[in-house]
Amino acid sequence: MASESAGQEGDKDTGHRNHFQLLQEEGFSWSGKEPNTLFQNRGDGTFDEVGNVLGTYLRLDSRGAAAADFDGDGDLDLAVYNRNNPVIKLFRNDAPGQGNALEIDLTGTESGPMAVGAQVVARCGERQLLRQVEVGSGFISQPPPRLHFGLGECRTVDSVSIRWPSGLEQTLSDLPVNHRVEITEGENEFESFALRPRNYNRRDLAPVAGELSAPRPDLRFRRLTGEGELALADLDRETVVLNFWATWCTACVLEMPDLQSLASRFAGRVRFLGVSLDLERTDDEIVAFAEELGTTYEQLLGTVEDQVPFSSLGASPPGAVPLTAVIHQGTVRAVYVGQIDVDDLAQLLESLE
Amino acid sequence: MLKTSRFSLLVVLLLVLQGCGGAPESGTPASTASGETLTAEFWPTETYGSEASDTKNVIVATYTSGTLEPSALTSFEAEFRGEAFGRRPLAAPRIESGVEIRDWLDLESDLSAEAFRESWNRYLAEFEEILTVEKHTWEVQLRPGPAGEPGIESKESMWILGRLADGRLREDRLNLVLDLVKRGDEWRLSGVSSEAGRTTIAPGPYFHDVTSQVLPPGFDQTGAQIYTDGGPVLADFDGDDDIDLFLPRLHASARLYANDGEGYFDDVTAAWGLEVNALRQGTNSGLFLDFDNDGDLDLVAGVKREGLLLFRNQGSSFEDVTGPSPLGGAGEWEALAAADYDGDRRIDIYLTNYGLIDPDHQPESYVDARDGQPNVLLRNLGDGRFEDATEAAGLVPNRERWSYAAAWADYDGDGDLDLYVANDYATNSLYRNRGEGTFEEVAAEVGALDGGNGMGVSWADFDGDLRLDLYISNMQSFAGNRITRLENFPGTADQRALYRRFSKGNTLLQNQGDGTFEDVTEASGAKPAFWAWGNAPLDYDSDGDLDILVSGGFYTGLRAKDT
Repeated sequence: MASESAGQEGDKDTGHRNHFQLLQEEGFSWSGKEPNTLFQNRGDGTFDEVGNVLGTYLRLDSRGAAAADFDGDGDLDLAVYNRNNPVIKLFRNDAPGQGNALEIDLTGTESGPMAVGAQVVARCGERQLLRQVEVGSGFISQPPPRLHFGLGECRTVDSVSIRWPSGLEQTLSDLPVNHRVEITEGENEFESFALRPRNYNRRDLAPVAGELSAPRPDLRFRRLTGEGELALADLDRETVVLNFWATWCTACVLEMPDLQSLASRFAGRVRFLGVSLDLERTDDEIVAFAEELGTTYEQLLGTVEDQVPFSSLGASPPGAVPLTAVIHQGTVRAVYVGQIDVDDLAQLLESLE
Repeated sequence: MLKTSRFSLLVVLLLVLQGCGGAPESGTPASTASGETLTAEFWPTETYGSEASDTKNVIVATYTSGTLEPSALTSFEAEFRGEAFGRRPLAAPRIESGVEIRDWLDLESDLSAEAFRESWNRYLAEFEEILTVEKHTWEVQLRPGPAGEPGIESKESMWILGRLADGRLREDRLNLVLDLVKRGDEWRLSGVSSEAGRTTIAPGPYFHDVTSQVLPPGFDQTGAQIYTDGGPVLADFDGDDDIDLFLPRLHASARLYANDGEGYFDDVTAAWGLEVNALRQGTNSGLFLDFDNDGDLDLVAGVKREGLLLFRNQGSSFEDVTGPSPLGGAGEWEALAAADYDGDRRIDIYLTNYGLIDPDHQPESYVDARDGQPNVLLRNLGDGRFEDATEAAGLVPNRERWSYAAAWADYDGDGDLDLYVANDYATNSLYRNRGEGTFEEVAAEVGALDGGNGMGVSWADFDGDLRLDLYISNMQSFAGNRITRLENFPGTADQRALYRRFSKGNTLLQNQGDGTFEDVTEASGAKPAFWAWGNAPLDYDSDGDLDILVSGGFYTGLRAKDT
């Protein structure tokens, strides 16, 4: 830039240098190494700052930033532009315990193709969410025109109302969660595409620790389909498949029938256990949910902390589900992060016999 | 050469008075709101605070070593009195998305230096490992000692990030008041007391830096010079349903990245015809938008000092259709924001224009500058042609602020799109669309002026009442806070308040539903976010409410020492 090159040629003897030159020459920082802040909404428009513990504290001289679902798994990842090196940073969102989501792409007709300024309200029970289509915002940034609705525990979207810039008001009902939906102005048919399992990462799909040999953590779980507690220590003569899951987790729901098929195939040889992390739900709800999916193996109740000893072995975020651990005679032999590969798990279980 | 202390002082002065971009001559005396010339004598607190930093850091150092050694007591006055770290809970812990937050107050107590050391070490032992410690001084007042020795009261925020024995991450925010007194050449601690604090615990980081995994290897990640600005430009330009990335670069070639569908990117700059001279350097902005209404996304790119370039999407490549010269012409171009403001179904583009960045040019005022370059509204005529419609649309008032950011929304629900513009060194502008393609500036009458060093703006419904609120990134400066809170900072009460506001941090304006806004910043908790530039509302945990990422920091030099 003209001003900078002019500055660099400034006369050092006369003192006619600007302060930025001085900063650079003397190596000083000016509000340097400052972190990027993440404000977490308490639900009412007030916030807590959580960036330091959640991993957004990038200490570069950041400029514009925008959120987008880069990996198509229904949660919003981050792109941050920086003055200094490196100029762009991308962060993948691996937050555990996320809600369901709906993504919407709008195509306008009377409103122009991008329908900029369209306001969309998604409703699910009491919950109402407003998002708008925009092209350019924040600081010199463009978040994508695709709209993201976080829906918590909602399993279907009752309705989506669109106020198009043309003035048309359009309402669609019964939209699927964890899908991306394409809606055209004035048309009541829409196309929908399933999103990937939450916290999808293609590099995590392989078993991350197939040749593991780590001591079993000393954990106890409350039984959901029975009385009292179950201690892992009591199972040290068995082979155990421990599957951490949650009702909101799409990938978990998709793999549970596969786990059941393996449980049936290895009946009497391998003990399959489900550990639900649904602390917000009643025992009956969780059990009913698991049965609806056709599972008959035992269900337990766990916490994110219970999952940590396994997730740390698998280099995965604490609390991320699904996570499946294989414990053979008191030793953790494998940790699968993300949806299991049935053949792979079957092969491992056979090799342990 | 200038001495370090004087240099720091000048920088501090600039920080308070100057905002984000200008660069006055070092010899220019700065003056306050009341017209007084500021000199070094004005804030000995800055000098004292700097001199006493080694003593203050005695406490910080214990975090890294994990314990406060008995030998450190030589930095303490014999009559030292300190407060214990009892941490009385203020309320039940809150847990949201697995993050636990506890607010607490320390127990009042009156400990000797040795007892304070023990209490402090007990506190430190709660961490298995301390990862980072960050200390910010946000207020210093002169408090001479009993015999008239130099003394200060220094209010410090200390943030400690550590790991607990069970692997979880814990951050503590301590608000400490340090009393320091100078004995000969040495500063000594005469007291430590504690104000309310907060503990935040998470199972582990939820966001992971995947840049080197997902961007192609060999990408030139070299940063740039001090004025560099820019942001990510995100949309599905190639129509394969995933979100792609355009990266403007001021001092290098702009890049175009195509997403492979799973969040991994290929550099397709050349393949899509963007490895061209016009984009070799100087770009700082871009938008993917359909300017020719053919259903695919075209690209516009802003070039500093030159104007706007147009690239039409031809299906598998971009064609430069700018015409004889970039649109808008020479200007200190910053943000682009597009919308169809006049309802003709064609997307129009608003360009913000900053003040001339030059060592010899500084804003005429640090709180009400009107000598920036003019902002421009480009009206889309179809077929890739645009005309300057700024005057015809009535976007004239305040168009010559030092503008950084702009964003469109129908905030008043009358069916047309309104425009908010964030300005540095001044209040902001809200242009209400009258409905026939003309605007009136209503920021003052509807309570949306803000006033701060405005850098970024987003419209979003933060409180879930189905109305679009405004979140504005502003400068937050600890040094600015210190100076403007000095008991002898000159000016009337109003002037002091104004200067304080300009270093306070971000702003949240709540849409009242009747066309007006209420400033709810203080109650929102979303104010302090350092030297903030970008802001991105996002529901990161998909629980239905919008969280906010704020990106910032101004200039990091080779030395750790900051102003």
